[in-house]
Amino acid sequence: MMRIAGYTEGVFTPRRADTIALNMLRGYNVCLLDTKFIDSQRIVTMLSRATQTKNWSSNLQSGIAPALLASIICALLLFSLDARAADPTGGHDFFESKIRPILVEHCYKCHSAESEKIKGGLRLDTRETLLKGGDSGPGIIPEKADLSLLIKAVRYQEEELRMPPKVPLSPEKVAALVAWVNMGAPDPRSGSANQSIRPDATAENHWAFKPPVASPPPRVATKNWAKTPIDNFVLDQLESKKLSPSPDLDRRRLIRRVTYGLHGLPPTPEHVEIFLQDQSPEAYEKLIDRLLASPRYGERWGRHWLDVARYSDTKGYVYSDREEVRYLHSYAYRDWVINALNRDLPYDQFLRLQIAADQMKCDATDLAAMGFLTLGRRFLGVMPDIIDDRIDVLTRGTMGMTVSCARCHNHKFDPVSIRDYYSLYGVFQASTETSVPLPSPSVSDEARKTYETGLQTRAQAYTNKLVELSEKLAQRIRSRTGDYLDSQLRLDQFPNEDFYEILAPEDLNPAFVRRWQEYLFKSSQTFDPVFSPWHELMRLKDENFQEEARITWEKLKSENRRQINGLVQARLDAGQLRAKKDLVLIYTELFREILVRETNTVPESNSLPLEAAVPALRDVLFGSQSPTRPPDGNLADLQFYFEEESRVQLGKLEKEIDSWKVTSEGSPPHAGVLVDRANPKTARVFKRGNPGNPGEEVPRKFLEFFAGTNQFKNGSGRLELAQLISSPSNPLTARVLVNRVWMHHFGQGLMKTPSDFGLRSEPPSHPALLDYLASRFVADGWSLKKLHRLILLSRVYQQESRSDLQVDPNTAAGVERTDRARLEDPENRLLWRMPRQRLDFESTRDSLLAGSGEIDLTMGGRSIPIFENPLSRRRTVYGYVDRQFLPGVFRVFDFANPDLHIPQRHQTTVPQQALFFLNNRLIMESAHALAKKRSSPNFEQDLHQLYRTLFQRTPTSAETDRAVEFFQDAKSVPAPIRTEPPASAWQYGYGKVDPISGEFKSFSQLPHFEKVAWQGGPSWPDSRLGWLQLKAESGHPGNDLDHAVVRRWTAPHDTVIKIQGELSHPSKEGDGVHASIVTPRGVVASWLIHNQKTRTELDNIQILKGESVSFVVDCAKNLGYDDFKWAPVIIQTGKKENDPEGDQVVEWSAKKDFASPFEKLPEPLDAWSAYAQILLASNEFMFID
Amino acid sequence: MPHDRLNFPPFNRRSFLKRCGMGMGTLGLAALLKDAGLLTAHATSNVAPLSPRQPHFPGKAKRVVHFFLNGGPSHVDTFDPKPALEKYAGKPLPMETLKTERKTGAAFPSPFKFKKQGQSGLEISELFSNLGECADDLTIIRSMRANLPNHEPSLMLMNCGESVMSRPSVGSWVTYGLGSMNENLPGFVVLCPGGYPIKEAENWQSAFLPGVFQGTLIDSQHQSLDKLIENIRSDYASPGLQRKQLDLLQRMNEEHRQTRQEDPALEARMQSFELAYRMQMEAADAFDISREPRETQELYGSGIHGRQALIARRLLEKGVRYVQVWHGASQPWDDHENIAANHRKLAGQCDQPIAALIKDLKRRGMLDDTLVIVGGEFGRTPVGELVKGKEPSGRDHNPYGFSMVLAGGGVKGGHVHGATDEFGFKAVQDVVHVHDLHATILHLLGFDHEKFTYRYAGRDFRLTDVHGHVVRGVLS
Repeated sequence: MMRIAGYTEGVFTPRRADTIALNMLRGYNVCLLDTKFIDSQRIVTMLSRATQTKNWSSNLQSGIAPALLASIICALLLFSLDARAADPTGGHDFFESKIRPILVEHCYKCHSAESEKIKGGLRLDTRETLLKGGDSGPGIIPEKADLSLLIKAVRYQEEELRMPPKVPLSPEKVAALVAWVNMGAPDPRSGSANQSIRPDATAENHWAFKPPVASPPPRVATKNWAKTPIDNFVLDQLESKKLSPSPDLDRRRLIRRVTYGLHGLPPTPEHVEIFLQDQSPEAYEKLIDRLLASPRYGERWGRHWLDVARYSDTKGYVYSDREEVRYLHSYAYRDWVINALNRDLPYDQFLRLQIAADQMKCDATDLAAMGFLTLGRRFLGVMPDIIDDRIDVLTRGTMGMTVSCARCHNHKFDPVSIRDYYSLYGVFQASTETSVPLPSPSVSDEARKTYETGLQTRAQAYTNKLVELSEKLAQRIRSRTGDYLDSQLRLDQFPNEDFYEILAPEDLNPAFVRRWQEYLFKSSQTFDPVFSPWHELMRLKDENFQEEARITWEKLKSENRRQINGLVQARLDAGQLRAKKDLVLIYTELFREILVRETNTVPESNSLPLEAAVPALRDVLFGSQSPTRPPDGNLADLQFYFEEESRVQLGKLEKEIDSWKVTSEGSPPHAGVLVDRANPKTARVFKRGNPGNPGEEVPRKFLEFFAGTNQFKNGSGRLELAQLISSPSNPLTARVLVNRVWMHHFGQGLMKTPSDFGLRSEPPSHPALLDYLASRFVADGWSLKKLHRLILLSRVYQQESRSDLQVDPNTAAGVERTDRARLEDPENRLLWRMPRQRLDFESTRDSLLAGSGEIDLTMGGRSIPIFENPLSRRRTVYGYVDRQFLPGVFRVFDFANPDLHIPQRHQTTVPQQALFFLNNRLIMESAHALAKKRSSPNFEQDLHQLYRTLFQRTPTSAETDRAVEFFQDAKSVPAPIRTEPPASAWQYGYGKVDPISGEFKSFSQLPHFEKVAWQGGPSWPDSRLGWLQLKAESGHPGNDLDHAVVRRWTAPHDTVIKIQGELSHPSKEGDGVHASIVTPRGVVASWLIHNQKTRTELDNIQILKGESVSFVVDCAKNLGYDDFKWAPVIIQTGKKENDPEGDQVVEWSAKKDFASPFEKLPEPLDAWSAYAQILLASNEFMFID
Repeated sequence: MPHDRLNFPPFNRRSFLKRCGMGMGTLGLAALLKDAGLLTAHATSNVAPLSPRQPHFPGKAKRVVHFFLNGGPSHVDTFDPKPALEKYAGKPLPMETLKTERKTGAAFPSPFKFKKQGQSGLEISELFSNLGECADDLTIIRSMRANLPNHEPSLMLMNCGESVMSRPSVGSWVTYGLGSMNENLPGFVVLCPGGYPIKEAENWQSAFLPGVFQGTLIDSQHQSLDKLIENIRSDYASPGLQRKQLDLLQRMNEEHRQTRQEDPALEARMQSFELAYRMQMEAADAFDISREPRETQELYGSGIHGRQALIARRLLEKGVRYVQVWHGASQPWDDHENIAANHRKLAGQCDQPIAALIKDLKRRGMLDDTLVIVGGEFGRTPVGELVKGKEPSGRDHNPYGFSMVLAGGGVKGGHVHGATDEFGFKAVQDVVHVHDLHATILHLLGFDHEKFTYRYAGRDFRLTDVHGHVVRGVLS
């Protein structure tokens, strides 16, 4: 039955139901007279929804035609009668909240359509079957609990009828069932016993599953307040509670609010001045337009979308020795999102491109959009989990539907069945992933060329290895054809993919067992000359096999004369078929001979006389589709075919390619796209979500509740999926989006659960407003910028946020207004004031940079680790997001967890946040920058400037006095005792090597540090010092023996050490490099190395405090191709005298300790910077009124 | 962000009840109502997610320390003696060989001796002779079951109750449910020397719970405080200057708040600065084991493991709710080969510290309300692993049967629960699945695991998903 969403919570009494029905009738009458009257509109809206079919995809939004009015009246009458008779609505509420959960949780497993076997013939998942009952009689007798079998069973009254069988229900649950039966067992469920139904009867009536209907803005009593339709909707509800809105916000704080709202940044003092000076009525509108036109807008709102898309630059946990952990394509997606928002790409197109850009006419750069699907966690490559993540982000992100619940069973509340889930699963299973280079103008030709050459080399290495290993593998699989045929008789013995087993080459590989299974299945779909006898005979039962087989074989021969492969026929005629094993043996022998014949140059004597029959058999073993070969595809798809060792070899080579793409300067941005597979498989339901337990096949299609049984027609169906999601007649998509936008502006959505619009979600605070916005949004061409304008221009948005401001503080009415509001609506759901907001992680960091004037507004490009020194000044949206090793500060400030689709961030207040404001380097640098910006000799002017920059206002006189006081105090405090770490043990330089003795003499520091390397100057090679260079793990010697490159470690105390590490010279060209380890005792080891690797390990080296160990590399005879890798690690093995740490491992790693000169700590705080720091840490800075 | 969105437990009782899924549970409700902080809902609330909260019913345990012997310690070499293996040494077992990750062969008797310990006579191997001295305080569950013989899913199952998808870890759930007893320290601390175990930070993830409930990893190899906790002290301002700064800050904030009285978030943030100021000292103190008497330091031993166990005790004592102590980076206990030497070395590192912690807690009167958990993600096979061209010298992974050791916090002492088969391959009697262990841990802390839920993605999630039974047999 109907429910007026959002207006009536709780149980209807008959009287109330009557009243409402009467209201409806009244509404209908009034409706004829004045369509603007809100109640009538609501009811008409509601009725029109009720009369629409659920299948919106075939039935586009229909208004309410006069012809429908008759049926509305009928509906009304029915409603009121029914309501009077059985209290259906209240009963249904009771059923939904108490009874259905019990049935679902405790009974459905054995007594519903989803049960593997329906126990006792009883189904409890429809009203009809429950009443009808099972083998023991009717399930319940309404109003007679004591006589109802169901109740007897749950009461454990009788020995032989105790349900649920193992653990009795709690007394509360039993009581609820009893009450329900005595109530007459109101039950909204429909469906007949013969059809598999979902427990979703009320989904038919769920407001969110019907198209939004734009009602005209309601009339309001308060005059002259409402400026926009939004205001009417909000005010109307306020008035109904006898509440009133708050006064307008002052203009200084208004520009702060809206600038943060659209940019996530504070307004500059200049912009504040312009706005304050502009007296024109359009000043605010102009401000909004300016903000929307700025690229800062896309950066802010792009990040909101990235929360939805669970954006990360890394894959999560991987075997990092054989897989690149960073995503190649993440930043291109991020930049695409920012750009799409800045150009106001219509939201429907925005979504379609993210789901199916590969199948649409679009710019090449738009392919990057598909990062939406491809940037999730990788779950060690387990496909069902990757697809699950994609289904989740897609359905919750765009439609507010929690489809992934149906991975294991039908959704318990929403109209999503397990079949629906696997229909979508099929769409993604039919898509495979690849990356596509995108145009990028900004790279030099030289860098591009280096990149391409490097890429080619690596790609070739991978392909060569793949071909080699695939052929080796195929040979082995072919030689075991008999075993693989035999495996088909015992398929259940092979583990599924979530059971990862280390296989030796001699093991039967489950992936090939399945590949054979598929191959045979395919051959069974039509008449297959080689395998038809196999299929026909395998179908027989084991009993009486010999006899049955003879008959079947004769029949097959007579029906398909000449079509059966000659050799197969000959062998079957000659052989004995006592059991299925014999059949396996016959085929095995046949394939063995084919194999022998192929590998021997001299054919065995006449063993295969029927030459014409050979090619078809040969094709089974050697053809391009042979089940003995791994299929075509990328390594992710292939990994299960190879055994561990090959997999690691291939993985390492693939990692080389990916890492090169990620790091090479000349590498273009890439899009991570899905493309359709050539021969998509139809997905099967995995029973209880277990891939090892496949059930029925399900076609690719959309959720049945919304789109009926229409199957997708083209390829994977992804484009059709995208179209259905972005369709104006999809009841959810526009609503979900406008709610997200509203949520970011107001801190709370009209719907409290932005990614769950399902049956169990709380209804929206303003249903008519939500519908109005959604309809307007679609009518405005899905323009986000228009939506922002609409919302921001409303007077609701421009309200004061302080609740203790009375309308008129001097009147009792004013005081009463606030008190009433707090009492009536403490959560401020009705928006009687604007909620105050706290800066989130991004706007906190961005504001620190903007406030101190240090912000770098460069857009786009690869992500930067924002908390590494030297600290980046780029906006936080460009920060590197490593979902596996997310720096603590992200978490501490409630950053969206990049593992999951995050509809709304948490908001916590913890001391670690305060520690950040007290002690973090970024704060100190910002405070210093602010202090340095002082331009006038006048203290007061400086102070004013500081307040204007950070707070958009001037300080009060009390604040000025307090500042003066603080400055005097601060000067009297001594400077801190620095705990700066001791100078690094490592130095980076060069020196001369004696060509004869190999001795190394002299040491000079390399003078310049550039980004990641020590070298001669800003450009490399340097005009004076040539090719000398040292990076964390690698380096390049200078041009001659006078310029060997030297990494030097100096002992901090007397001790004994050992040295570990690996030296490699990767290039085939040139003559390699010459390396040595030099201690005060002379050269202790040296290597001449060319296109090879070697361990550089030394043990038991005594060393005194201040003595050095040098790692020296020169260019050997000739300069050229001298890049080397060497990141030694020094481990202290001896104890330091009197070392209380005892056996603590102390080590110095060239890689980990590699430090730039920017590591140096900022200066200690002086009075100005200490003061500026406090302003940055203040609540006024962190909150937006 | 909406500062006054009522989404956080202490903020609003109703939303808290709903979020915790406790709204309907009468026990939970009653217990919650006792908590004055929650009763007054809006008025006194601050947004401090770590403030202490009451569970459904009074739990025996108030805090947890979990020694994670990662890699899979062999139960038949430690806590589950199987003399029958001797009889079949070098021969196939007279039972089905269960499928594990790698190939295994003949029965492989333990190279270690078992000894009856304590009055209860618990049999524990010589590897854990120190722990053996605590036998009368231990419950050994010998009938543990997990699902898969691979590290990654098993670590996830043990830590988060689910093998694959991102779900909150046990520590995150517990901290979410109970808050912390000391807001100056993180509520859930993870100690691991020298790097990450495999699966890395996923082992202590908060998933959909707020980030503050995620475990805070501390590389216990370090000793300098700056490396242990981020932003813990200032290199820029002396304590004197910092105090003056804070005084100024609080005056500014107070003035700002004058006209915004309704807003608890402002007050909460002001308080957090005072907490942070104190945290600087408190954290320094917590990690400074040199403040312990010499005798105590000796009890724990001088190595990294001794130090981290002692740090764990100091943290527990200071009110940290959940401490997880990992044996080390990667998976040290994963002895596919040479188990005789390697297990001896590993146990040699952690036996004394674990025993010391139990003894130390006991003498401080803390063992009764501290739950100590010792174990890995699974056990190892009683048969030897076949490695090409070598004599079997190690064991493969075994999720079918393994042991976990519990102590304190409301579990029995000197007790063995359940059993594996004659050879230790498979749990056969009173089987305890990992989900059951979780249900039991929550029970000991005062939670009904079926009612302790969190609403996410339209569904109420539980640590135990749809599984788990409290193992009554281990409760004291």
